Amino acid sequence: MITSANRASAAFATLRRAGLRLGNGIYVPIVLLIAAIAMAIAEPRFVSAGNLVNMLLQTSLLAIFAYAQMFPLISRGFDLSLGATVSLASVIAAVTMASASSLGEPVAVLCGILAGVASALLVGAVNGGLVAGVGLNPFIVTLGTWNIVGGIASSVTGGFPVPTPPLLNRWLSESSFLSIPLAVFAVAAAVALVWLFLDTSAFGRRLCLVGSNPSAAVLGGINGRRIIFTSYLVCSALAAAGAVLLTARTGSGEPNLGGNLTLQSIAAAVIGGVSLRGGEGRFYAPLLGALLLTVLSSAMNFFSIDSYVQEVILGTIIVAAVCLDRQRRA
Amino acid sequence: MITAPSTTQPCFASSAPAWLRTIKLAAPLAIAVLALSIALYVYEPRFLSGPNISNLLRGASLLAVIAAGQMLVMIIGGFDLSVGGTAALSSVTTALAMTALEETFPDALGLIAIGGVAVGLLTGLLVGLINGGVIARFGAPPFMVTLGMLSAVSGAAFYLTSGTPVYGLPDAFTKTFARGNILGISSLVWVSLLVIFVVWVLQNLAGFGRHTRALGSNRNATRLAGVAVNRYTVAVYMLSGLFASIVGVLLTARLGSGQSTIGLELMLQSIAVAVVGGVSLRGGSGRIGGIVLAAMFFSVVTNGMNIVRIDSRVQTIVIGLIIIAATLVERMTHSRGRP
Amino acid sequence: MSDRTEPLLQLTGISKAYPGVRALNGVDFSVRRGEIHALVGENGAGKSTLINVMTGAVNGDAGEYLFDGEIAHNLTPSKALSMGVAAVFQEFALAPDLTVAENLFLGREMTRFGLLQRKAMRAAARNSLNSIGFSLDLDAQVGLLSRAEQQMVEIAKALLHEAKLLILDEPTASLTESDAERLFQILIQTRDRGVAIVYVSHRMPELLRLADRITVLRDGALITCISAAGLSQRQLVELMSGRPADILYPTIEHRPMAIALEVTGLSLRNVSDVNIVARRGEIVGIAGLVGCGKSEVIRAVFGAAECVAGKILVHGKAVSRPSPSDMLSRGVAYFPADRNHEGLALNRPVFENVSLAAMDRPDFVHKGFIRRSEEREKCFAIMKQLALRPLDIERGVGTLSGGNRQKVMLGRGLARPTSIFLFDEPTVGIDVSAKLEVYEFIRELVESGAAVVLVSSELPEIIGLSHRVYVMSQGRIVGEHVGPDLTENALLEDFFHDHGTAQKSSSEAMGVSG
Repeated sequence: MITSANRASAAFATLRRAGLRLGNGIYVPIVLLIAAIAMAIAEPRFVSAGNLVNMLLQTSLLAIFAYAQMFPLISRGFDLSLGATVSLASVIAAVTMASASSLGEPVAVLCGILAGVASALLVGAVNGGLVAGVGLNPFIVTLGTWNIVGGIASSVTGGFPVPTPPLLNRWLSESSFLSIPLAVFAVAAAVALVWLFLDTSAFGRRLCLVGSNPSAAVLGGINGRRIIFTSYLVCSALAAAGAVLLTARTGSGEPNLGGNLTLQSIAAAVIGGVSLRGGEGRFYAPLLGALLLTVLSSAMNFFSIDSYVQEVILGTIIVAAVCLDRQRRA
Repeated sequence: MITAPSTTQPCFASSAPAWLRTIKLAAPLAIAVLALSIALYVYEPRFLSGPNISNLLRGASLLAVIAAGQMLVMIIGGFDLSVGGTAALSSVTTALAMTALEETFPDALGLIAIGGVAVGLLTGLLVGLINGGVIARFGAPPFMVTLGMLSAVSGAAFYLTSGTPVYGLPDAFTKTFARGNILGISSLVWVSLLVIFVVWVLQNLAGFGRHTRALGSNRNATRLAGVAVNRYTVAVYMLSGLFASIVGVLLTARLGSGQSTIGLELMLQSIAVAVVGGVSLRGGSGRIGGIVLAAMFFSVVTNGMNIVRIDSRVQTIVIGLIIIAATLVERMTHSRGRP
Repeated sequence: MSDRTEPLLQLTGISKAYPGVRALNGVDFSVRRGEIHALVGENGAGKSTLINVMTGAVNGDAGEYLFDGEIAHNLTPSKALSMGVAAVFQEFALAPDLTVAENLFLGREMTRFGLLQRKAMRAAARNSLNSIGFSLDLDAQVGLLSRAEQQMVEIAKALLHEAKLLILDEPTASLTESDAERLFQILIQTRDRGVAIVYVSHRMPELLRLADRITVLRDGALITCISAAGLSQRQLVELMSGRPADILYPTIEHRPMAIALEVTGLSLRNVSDVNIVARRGEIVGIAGLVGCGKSEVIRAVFGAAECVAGKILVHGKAVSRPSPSDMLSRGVAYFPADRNHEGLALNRPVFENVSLAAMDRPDFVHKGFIRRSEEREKCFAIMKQLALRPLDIERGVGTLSGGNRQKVMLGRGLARPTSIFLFDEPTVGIDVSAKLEVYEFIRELVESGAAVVLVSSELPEIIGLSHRVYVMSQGRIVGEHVGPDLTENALLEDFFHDHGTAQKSSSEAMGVSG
C-alpha cells in the first residue's frame, strides 16, 4: 500500500527525473531561455505581440512534423519520406477538392482532406510494411519511398500548384481565436493526442519498450512488428495533418510543399531530446526542439542573416546536437 | 548433436575462388545491361550511335565515381548523404577560385585551371574530414552527421553564389578539357577510369580493402586485431568527399559554369548505384567492379527512359523502385552467416 | 615440461570494477613459458575480465602487469598483440565477410611498399595449417563456416603469428570429440615448444588432463593456484563452488501436485527427443555442461526458439505453436540468461520493466490506457516483496546492479498470474546476498503451488534447490535424479556421459569416476 509519503517521494522523483532528462540534458530549455532573453533585450520587436504569434505559428507548423518523426524514431527507425508524403497529401487533397467542387465547397474540402490523409496513410503503410513486415533497413526503404512519392506528387499535377478552394483557407488559415491562428490550436490538439498516445496508452508504452530492447519486448509477449508498422502509420497521419495546415496557408496544393521538411523534422525531434537509439521520447521533446529552431531562425531573420547561411547554421546545429546526444548517453 | 565435418578432408571442396564468386554476382547485372541495350537499340537505333554512346559513357563515369565514394563509406557500415552538397560546393569553389585567379593572374592559364581544380578538390577533402572526424570521434550516427553536413554545405554553396551560376571560366577548362578526347574517349571518362583504377588498387592490392571490409563486418574484431579503425573511418569519408568533389569539378567543366544546384539527385543516385552494385547495407562487402556495372546499368536506364520519353518526374519514381527492389533482392538472397 | 625461471606473464593485485559490480578484487596470476595454466571458476567469477586484462582489451583499476620482465602501462589490444599475446575467445573475433586467408592475416598483413604479398601470405598460411594439421580452404568465407571450423581459424590465427602467450576461452565448446583430441595434441606440442598457454574451461576432464597448474577464481577473488597433478574432479568442484560453508540453500518442501508442464519428444537444432515433466509445488532442475542444450529446451517451450518436433502440454492443454504471448497468457514465464540483452529495457524505469509482460492484463490496462496509479502500486508491492534496494521504481534499470536488475526481471513473473516459472541461469553475475534473496523468492513460489523449472550450469545450485534433476548432455536427456540419487557424483557421471562405448572407456581412463 503506497503511503502518502511514498506518493510524495514518487512525485518528487518524477520531477527530478524530468528535470534531468529535459531535452539534451538541461541544455535545450537553458539555451532557449538565454536566446529569448538576449533577443528581447537586443531587439524589442522580437517580443512584440505580432512576432510572438508568428513564432507560435511557425513552431506549431514545425512541431507537428517533428511529432510525426518521433514515432519511427522511438522504434529505432526514421522516415526520410516525410517531406515527400507531405507534398503528396497536399497535391492529392487539392486535386480532389477541385474535382469534387460540384458537390459544394464544404463537402469538396472535406473530401479533399480525407483523400490527402488516405494517400499519406498509404505511404505509411508501405513504409511500415517493408520495415516491419519484411525487415528491410528503414533508411533505404524511406529513401526509396522518398523518391517514389516525390515523383508521384510532381507527376500528379504536372509540376504545377493546384489552387484550393478559399473555404479551406478560411477555415484553417485565416481564422483565429483570441488573435491566435486556428492552426496553433489544431497543433496543440495534436500534441495533446500524442501525449495521450505515448504517455498514457498501452501502445505508447509498448512502442518505447520495443525501441528500447526489441528482444526483451518479444519475450514479454509484445508484437514488435505490429508496433513498428503502426509507428510509421502514425507518422504519416500526423504528416498529413500538417500537410493540410500548410496547404491551407499557401492556398494551393504544392508538389514541393515538403521541401526541406524531412531534415527539419528530424532535427527538431533530436534536438528536443528524442534519442536516435530509440526507446525514448518525452512527449514534449519535439515541441521543445521546434521551439528552439523557430526562435533561432526568427532571431537570425531579425539580424538579417542570409537564408542560405541559416541553412549552414541549421546543419551545424544538427551535427552538434547529435554529438551531444551521443556524449550524454555514452 | 553438433555435426562438424571431419577435418581430414578440405572443408569446402567446392568453394569457388573469389573471382568466380564475383562473376556469379555480376552476371545478372551484366545480362540486364545487355538485354536493355538490345531492346533499346531495337526501339531506337540511335541508341547505339556515336554521340549517344559517348553520352552513356559519360553518364556512367560520373555515376561510377560518386558511387565509388559511397561504396567505400557503406563498406564500413555508414552512409554519406552529403555527397550532393559536396559536389555543389566544389563546383562553386572551383569556379570562384578560377575567376579570382583569373583576375589576379590573367595570363597564367595553367595556374588558373589547376588552382581552381585544386581548390575544388580540397573542398571535398575538407568536408570528408569533418564528416569522418565527427563520426569517428563521437561515434555519432553517420546518416545524421552527413544529413546535417548536407544542409550546411548546400547552404554554403547557395550563399557563395546567391543561387546564380558562376560564369567566366577559362576555355581551357570548359572547352579543351571538358569536350576533349583522347583516343576518341572523353577526358571525363579517362578521369573516372583513373579513379576506378585507384579504388581497385586500394581494394585489391593494398591492405585498405581488407581492413575496411573487416571494419564493416566486425568492428570490434578489427579493432582487437590492431587495425586503426578511427583512421580508416576518417580516410573513407575523405575519399567520399574527394570523389564527390571530382564529380563536381567535372560537371562544372561540362556545364561551363559553377552551379550550386547540383545536388540531391546525386546523393540518391550514388546510393542506388551502390545498392544495385552489390554493396551490402550492413557493411563488409562491396567491389568496384559491381559499381562500374551498376553505373552502366543506371546510365542505360536513364538514357533509355529519356529515349522513350518518360517524364523526368516519373524517372525518379523508377529509381526509387529500383532501390527498394534491389534491397529486397539482397535481403532474400543473402545467406551470409555471422558467428 | 616447464621452464622453472621467471614467469612470462605476471599479474599482481589486479582489480576491476564496473558500475554495480566488482569484477576482480586484487587477483594475482602468473604463467610460465612452456606451461598450460588452467583458469577456472563459476560463471561470474571474473575469468572473462581477467582475460580481457591480459589481452589489453581492458585495463585494471589497480595492479601490475609484467610481461617478459617489463611492466606494461595502458595496454591496448594492438600493443598486446605485438608483444605476443594472442587470444581465442568464445565469441570469435573474425570478420564474417572476409575469407579465411584474409582473416588469418588481419592487421598483420605482409606487405611490401604498401602492397599486399598475397602469395607469400598464402604460403605461410598453408605451412602453418599443415604443421598444425588443420585443413581449411583459404578462400572460404568465414561467415559461412561451421562453428568448429571458425574455431580452427581462430586458433590457426593465433599460432600463425608466433604467439608467446596463447589464451583459450572454452575452446572445445563446439568441437567434436575427434577435433577436440586434435586440439589437445596441438596444445601439447605448442606448450613443448615453449609457449605459455592459459586455458579457460568448465570441462574438468580436459583441465585435469592438460593443465600443469590450475588457478581458481570465485566472485572476483583468487581462491588458490595449485598444481594439477593428482587433483581429482571432486576436489576441483569443491574449490570452484566454495562449499561447504558458503551458501545455505533454503529447505524447500516438496509437495508435488498436478502436472503443470509436460514436454514430449522435443527436438530442435541441437536438441533431440527431450521429455520433461514439471509438477506444481516442485522444482525441476535441468543440469549439464555449457552447450548441452538445456537453455534451448526451455526457450523452445516458451516459444523463443523454433522447435522442429515435439508436443507441449501446459496444464493439460496442448500448445501447437508456442509463442511468448501465448505462453504468457497460459501462465508460463521465462527469464532469459542474458538479462541485459534479452530481458530488460535498460533505459526505461523499473516499473515499466516489471509491467512489460502484463500489458494485456485488465489490472494494468483499461480500454487501451494504462492505469497509472494501479500500475505503480502493484509494481511497488512486487519490488518490495523482492527486496529491491533502493526501493525506487522510477529509476532506470540501467543504473541498477546485477542483482537488482535480476529482481526487476523476476518481478515480471509476479505482475500477472503465473503458475509455471522457467529460470535460465537465474543467479549469473549477481552477488551472494542477492542470490539468497532469489532463492527465497523461488521457495515462496514453489510453496504457494507454482511449478519451477531451473536451468543452471552451477552444479551446487541445482543440487541445493531442485527436488528432481534432469541431466542433459549433447542435446539429449541422459539421466533423471531424485531423492538419495541426487548427488554431485551421480550428476557428474551423467555430465560426461558419452554416447559411444569407445569414448566412454577413454573418459574412464581419464578418471571420471574420481
